[in-house]
Amino acid sequence: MSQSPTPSSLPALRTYRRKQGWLAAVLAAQLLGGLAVLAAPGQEVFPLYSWFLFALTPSADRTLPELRVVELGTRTFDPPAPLAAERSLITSVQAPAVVRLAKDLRRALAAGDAAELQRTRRTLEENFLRAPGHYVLVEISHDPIARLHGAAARERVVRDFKIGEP
Amino acid sequence: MKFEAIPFPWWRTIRRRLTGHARHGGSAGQTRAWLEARVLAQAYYAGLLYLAFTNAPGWTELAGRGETGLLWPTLWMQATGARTGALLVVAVHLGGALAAAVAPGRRWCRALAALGLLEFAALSYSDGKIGHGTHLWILTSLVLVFLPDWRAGETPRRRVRQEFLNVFWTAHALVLLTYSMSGLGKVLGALWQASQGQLTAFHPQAMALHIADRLLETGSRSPVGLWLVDHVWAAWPLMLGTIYLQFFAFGAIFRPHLLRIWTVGLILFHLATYFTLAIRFGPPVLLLATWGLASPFAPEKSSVLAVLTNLPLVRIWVKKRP
Repeated sequence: MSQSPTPSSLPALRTYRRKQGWLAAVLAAQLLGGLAVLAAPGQEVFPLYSWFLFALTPSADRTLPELRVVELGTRTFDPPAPLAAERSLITSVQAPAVVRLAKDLRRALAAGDAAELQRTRRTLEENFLRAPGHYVLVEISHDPIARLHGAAARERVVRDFKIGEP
Repeated sequence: MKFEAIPFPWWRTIRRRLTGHARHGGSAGQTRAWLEARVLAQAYYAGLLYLAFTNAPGWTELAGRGETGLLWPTLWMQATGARTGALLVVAVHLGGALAAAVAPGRRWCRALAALGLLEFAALSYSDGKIGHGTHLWILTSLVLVFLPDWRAGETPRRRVRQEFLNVFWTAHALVLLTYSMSGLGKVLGALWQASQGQLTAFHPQAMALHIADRLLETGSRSPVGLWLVDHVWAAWPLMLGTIYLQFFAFGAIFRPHLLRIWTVGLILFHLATYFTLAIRFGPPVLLLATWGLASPFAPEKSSVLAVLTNLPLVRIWVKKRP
């Protein structure tokens, strides 16, 4: 259909087209905004996200941080328990948040950013470790597939933290 | 005044290129599509009410949280305190979803539902990591605020019906665009890793590495994850299929014959991520099933040839054959 609009319908048609333009802009904003927030700390600004999930393939020689609980309230964990996997303390839904906080802690330590370190620790302790105690940040080097089959990983304690203390 | 003076004349050219000149059903088809889209909008708010009711018991956990990692939409809670704030957020979330389910034709109800969901999700994700399970609902609820209002039993003018369809189409397109962005991320990530001499997403072992890494990192178990780690021949096609499905997802909104089949593919993708990586994306599955399987933009039936001649990459090959 290629009908020309009548002069009287033109203002309405213009408004209609303008609205169409705004809708196209919404899609463009989602794409461009999502890519732009990659430059932001944490690579997202809620609710804008790049959706770059699992964008990088883990290498067979990977180093990752892990939080381990040594003491919490009246409980002592011997050996120290990986917090993300300790189902008596956190749920499987909460596990990715703990993994993310471990990465944030390592990044803050590496950058020497004391303010960010304090903020991340408070977020972790207020949400997941709400009792006196202490925990450690460990760095693990491993081949994920080999470790899944029982191979040992190389470990290094990065920092020891007492809950609630600077 | 000439027709070309209207804003965005280029949009028609782009749309024709993307749709491959797909036919539409004229005025009768538009009325039918509008009626179907209206029902799907109502179903959307019924779904949102279900999600809000499912989320509501979580308020006790949210009320016990600290105020350090609050995301920007919930910063006001520093003034009210966590307990009062959490109660308010859950009340707006439930109340807004209920109002929109009862009267989806009213913009203020849809706006309240969008606000309640945004606040609840922001509070849920204020524990140090922004999750992404409800993002598609947040984004679509914000777009649906701009639907023209409607009353039961009334059929609006053709232009208003088309405006309704345009907003609804945009919300659906936004959903599919997020999958394409995820596919784009994997392709760009692979190109970067290839330039660094690293293993990429296209390598046969990529899926196995992702599964092993995720399960170890989160201390999770999955029904078929370990099996796939040991059977790369089965994992590799899944990874390549995922990249194809995600990368071209946005194109499906322009190709009516692909819309349902792509929706089924994306739902299967979410089921697969649960059974392999133990990641459960329930809300997006509900949204995909509601809008994608009963889409007013898809034909009731599609032949195999119609699907093949629209499939990205494959259609080039099919069209070249005599």
